[in-house]
Amino acid sequence: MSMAAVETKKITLRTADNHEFEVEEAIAMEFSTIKTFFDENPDASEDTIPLPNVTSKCLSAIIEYCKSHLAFRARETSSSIDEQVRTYDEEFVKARDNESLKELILAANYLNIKALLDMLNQAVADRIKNKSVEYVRRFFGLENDYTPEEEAAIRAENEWAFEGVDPDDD
Amino acid sequence: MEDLPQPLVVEILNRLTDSTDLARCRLASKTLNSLSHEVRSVNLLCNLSRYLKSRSPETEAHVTPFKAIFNNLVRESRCLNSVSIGVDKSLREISYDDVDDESDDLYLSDVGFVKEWLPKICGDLRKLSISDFWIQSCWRKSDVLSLISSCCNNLMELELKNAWLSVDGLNPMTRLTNLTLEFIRLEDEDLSKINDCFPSLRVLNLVGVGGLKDPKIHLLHLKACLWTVSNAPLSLTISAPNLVKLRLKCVKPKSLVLDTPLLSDFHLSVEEVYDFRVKEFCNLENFLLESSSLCSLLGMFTSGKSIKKLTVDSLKWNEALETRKFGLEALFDVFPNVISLNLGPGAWSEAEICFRKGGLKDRNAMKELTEIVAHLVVYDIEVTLSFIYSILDKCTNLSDMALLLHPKEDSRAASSLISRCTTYGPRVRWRWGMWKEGSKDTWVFVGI
Repeated sequence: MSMAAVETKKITLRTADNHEFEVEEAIAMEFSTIKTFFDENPDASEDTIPLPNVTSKCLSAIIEYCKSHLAFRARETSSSIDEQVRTYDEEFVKARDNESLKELILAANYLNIKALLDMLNQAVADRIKNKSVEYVRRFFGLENDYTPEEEAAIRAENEWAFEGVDPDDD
Repeated sequence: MEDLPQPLVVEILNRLTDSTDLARCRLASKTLNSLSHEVRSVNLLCNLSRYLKSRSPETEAHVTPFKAIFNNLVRESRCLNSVSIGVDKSLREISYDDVDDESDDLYLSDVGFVKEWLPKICGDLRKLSISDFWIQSCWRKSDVLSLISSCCNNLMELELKNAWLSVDGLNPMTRLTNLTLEFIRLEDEDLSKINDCFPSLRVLNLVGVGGLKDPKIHLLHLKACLWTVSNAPLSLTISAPNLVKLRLKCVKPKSLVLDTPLLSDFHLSVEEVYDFRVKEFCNLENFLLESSSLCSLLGMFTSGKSIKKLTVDSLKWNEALETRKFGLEALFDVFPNVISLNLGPGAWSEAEICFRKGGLKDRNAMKELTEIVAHLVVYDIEVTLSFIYSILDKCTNLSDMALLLHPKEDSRAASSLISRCTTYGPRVRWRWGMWKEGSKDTWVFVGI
């Protein structure tokens, strides 16, 4: 029994560290930046698209994410599918450290993948919830640029936020 | 590793659901402090810890008054789209006996308090949520609806909880699409003011709204409605030509009238109703019915032809009620095109009792059925098996059978049940699981 091969169009992407990724058109179209590019340049589909702002580690994670979500969307909506999507998103984020989350956010922002960006932003917000000021500084890579007097003043204004709060575990 | 660009940082800060976290971020650096004021929402919740500290003589001097915190947060924000203020659910545990003062420090639907901040931000406000402290609000009637409706011209979502609301001076809010009233005593017996003043509602949630006598929901654009009624209004009427999704839970209304021709997803939980009138459901595909008088309710249901997915359960089935038990055939008479059937433990028990008395009669509709999910209650394993075999015999297109057992069933009996079922119905794909009152169903794949 012979089966006709399904022709799926592939797009080639080149990352900052010079790796080439071949992805199915459906997945590449999830990246709004790329979709817009092809809408404006319909003849360019054979060319390799350079992504100077995205590393191969990031891109491969992002491709996995888009592939999985496309598969979820193809199935009939139900509460069990919603739960599977939630579990997938949680697992996607759980193992990653703060640095790699930040990298993914920057890549998702550059490639303009709204759903992924929203999910990652929410994951970061969840991580800094109820954490100490030091933790927040470290996460965003910020220096404390307050003078001691300024810091005391800001602290006094926002003292209520530190009242009766359970101690951090960090 | 370069820092995130500021718009992304603001996006992340926007997702901190508690403004307390946002305030703490301000100490991290000047940049973060400045960005925190760009956040478009204020969400402040008074938790039990803060409440207790504000009342204990040793700590009360060190606790900033809740309303003052909120006022400052609002003042410091540049552009607010969404505001949410409330008391945590844990404060519901506080009983009236523990409180003997007339303080109003947490009376959040107080017009005087809301007037201090709402008029300044109402221009850009899209979402407003006030979750009041019942002990301080239940005996004070609030005119806050009048204030909100007179200044919030762009409000799209409004949520009010645990308050006593007057509808005097309520002005039309034509942009409002979502309204949630939870545990509200409402001075609008038949909901006429609500219908008149919120004509553009797409989503309406009325949970535990008291003070209603003959409530009628009459909304042209309503698409989704959740209505739980705990007391006993005389009648319940819903007239909504575009309603697609309805969750209705009531006790014993004398009459229930539904004019919702486009309804496609309906959950109905009602103990008993004397007069149930429905204008034809042409689009209803998904129906969940829970009742303690299934037999009589099924008799009143005249438009079940479109339903494909049906869930049925019997309320109070383990109390020895003297009502007629319903048999499985009744379902197929009323719902001849069902493809997927889910039977709760009460429905299964009743149907099994009927089967034990008179067997299972043939119905053509049984041949359309492809999937059954059933929550079993086993008194006598031979009767249960014989019932299952009958179902397999009559539902000749059945391809999926998912049965859930209660954890208290004897595990050897359960194993025997499983193996005998799979032997009797080898064409069928069998799934097994456990059900328990108050918990979600869990599925297991290999034995129990």
